[in-house]
Amino acid sequence: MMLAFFLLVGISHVWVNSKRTQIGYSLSQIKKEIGQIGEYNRKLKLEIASLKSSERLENKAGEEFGLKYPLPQQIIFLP
Amino acid sequence: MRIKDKKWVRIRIYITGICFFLVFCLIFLRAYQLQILKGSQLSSLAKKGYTGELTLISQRGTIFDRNSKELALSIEVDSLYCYPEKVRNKKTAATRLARALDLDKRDVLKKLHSSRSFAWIKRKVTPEEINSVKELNITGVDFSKESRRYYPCMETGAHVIGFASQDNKGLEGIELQYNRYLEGQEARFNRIHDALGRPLIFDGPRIEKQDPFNLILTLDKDISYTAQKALREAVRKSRARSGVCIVMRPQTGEILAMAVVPEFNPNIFWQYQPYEWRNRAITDCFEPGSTQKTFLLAGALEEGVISPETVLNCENGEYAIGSFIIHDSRSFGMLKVSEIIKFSSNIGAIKIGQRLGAERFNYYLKRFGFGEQTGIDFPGERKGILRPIRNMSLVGKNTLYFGQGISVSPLQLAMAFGAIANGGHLMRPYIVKSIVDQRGEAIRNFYPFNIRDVISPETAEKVRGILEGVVRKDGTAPKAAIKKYSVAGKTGTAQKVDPIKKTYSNKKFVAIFGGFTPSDSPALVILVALDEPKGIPYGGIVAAPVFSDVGNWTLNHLNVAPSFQQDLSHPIERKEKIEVLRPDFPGSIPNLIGLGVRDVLKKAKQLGLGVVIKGSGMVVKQVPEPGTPLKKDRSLTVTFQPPA
Repeated sequence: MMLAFFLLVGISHVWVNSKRTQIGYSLSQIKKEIGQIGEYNRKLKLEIASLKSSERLENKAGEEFGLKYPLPQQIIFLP
Repeated sequence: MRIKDKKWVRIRIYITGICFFLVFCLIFLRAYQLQILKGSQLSSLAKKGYTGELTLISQRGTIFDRNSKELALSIEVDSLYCYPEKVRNKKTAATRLARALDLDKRDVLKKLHSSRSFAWIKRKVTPEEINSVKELNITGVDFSKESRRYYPCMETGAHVIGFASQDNKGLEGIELQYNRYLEGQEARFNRIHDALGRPLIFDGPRIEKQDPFNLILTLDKDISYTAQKALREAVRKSRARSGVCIVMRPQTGEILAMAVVPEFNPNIFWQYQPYEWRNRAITDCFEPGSTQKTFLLAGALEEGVISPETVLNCENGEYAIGSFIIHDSRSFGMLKVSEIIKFSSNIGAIKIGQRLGAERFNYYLKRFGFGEQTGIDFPGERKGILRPIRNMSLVGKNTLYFGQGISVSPLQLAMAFGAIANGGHLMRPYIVKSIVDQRGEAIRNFYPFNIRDVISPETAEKVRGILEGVVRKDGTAPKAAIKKYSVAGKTGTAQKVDPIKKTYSNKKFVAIFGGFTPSDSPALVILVALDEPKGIPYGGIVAAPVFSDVGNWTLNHLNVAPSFQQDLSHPIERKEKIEVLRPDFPGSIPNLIGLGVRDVLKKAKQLGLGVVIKGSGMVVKQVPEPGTPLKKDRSLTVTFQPPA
């Protein structure tokens, strides 16, 4: 009876430790992924900011789509 | 068993027992040595094998414009380093690395031969470079994460934002001024890893990470771009040495744009010379030239020594002060004060100044903020030079009235124009609107600050009215006019002092135009200054078009209501339009748009019409419409608005 009890305690201890190790691995993996996604997010923000720079948009609007700034008489102010 | 044998067994048992005892003693002593004597040393040695430190790099805070568009942000990039001892066949490795990283082979080889245990090969490399180095698979060469600063708008606003070093320290501009907010602190964690080095468990941070703060500026990215573009073009056309364009909100002192040429790209700031990094709007000073007459006028009107209608003798273009003769660019006789400003007569300015007095004028210059720092949140501001009157000669006192013998920064000049525009309040300029944490909550906000009231709102109103004349067709700056918007401003063409001859140069000038729009309810103050333009150097010719271009775009961008339904602000265009729009057919109501009250009354009297007048200024609306058949019993309702 005592032997069975000690055996159970021993197995539980091993199981808990193994689970702890597994969770440790997945936790560090998730943390790494969070860091990578955060960094990717920042890189995308930089890319968006670069793509939306006034100079690039102006050149694209003019050269690709043939757009021009409106003349003063073409602007109607809506109060 | 014989007794002898029994004894021998006992002896063997004793011997075995003693051996066991000795072995146990040995084990015990070894255990004592390991656990007690060397315990702490060995346990720390063992700990090193399964624990490590993880450093989380601190990202520098982001700088946003007033509309939350990124102007500066940091991302992680790889830097390449080596352990020189571990690199084998250094010559081949150096050749391959130099080719992959576009470096000098000798430099790389020098680093690989370094006596130190660690050496950077190239910091902040591109992803393409990382891939090509990884393919080389060189032992002793590895990567480390570092934070790199990017400026997506490149030259736009660069002189305001400044830049940060490779080590993330602010070196110039706002990056330097607000470094302690932008710079975060890196966090360090203890971790336990397995035999393969894979992390298992993290402890709480050993050094708490201090997140950096973000800055929200008063700058508008798009207005800054427009100002930079217009200024760049003006500097190119006039072949000027440099140029400055400031766009500011007069009611608050918020800087919307501060463009400077020569420009630089802060992403590669090390490729430019330090003089190109300088924010000349704040650090450079020059004589204000005729723009000074604006503040002379304001002071004289405030003191009541003149009125806009006061007539003064401009001496037909020549006026003697002691043994010196002061000249005007044109010969003027008797001119009203408003005309003196409109035509920018130097002799007229002296006459106004003589009524005001040099001491009082100096007092008003100080009140307008000249000779002191504006207090802007920016490093390296200069305060210019405003000498005490008692140290000035008679000629010096008189030439001060038209902007000689004083030195001002473009920002001081813009703020002084702002005081005219906003009804007499000298505001403190500012660039940072708020400091926010990573969740976007403001930890500190900056608000408009009125340094002092310089002149009364009534005087400011009179000055505004007179400055409107400067941009009319016969004024000195018709090129500053903006279609559909009223403009008030003043030109300046300041001679520079020749450092060798110690006299005013006839070839080197600073061309200036400062003004505000719409003049009846100013939304913008714009100051443009070009240093040493070649060819025609007049502020009204080279600087005024920048004002017009930037003002026109910005007013539309900010949805500012036009001053007029039709273009009444630009005299040349107005003349053409008036010819087309005024077909006064006999027997019909004439077109009165653009006429003054006197002309309307005259026409109405000729036609026998009654007139109901609404407002003042020039006609912007009339009922009945032009061309309506004329009936003698009908009356006209005419709406006026103040003209440019």
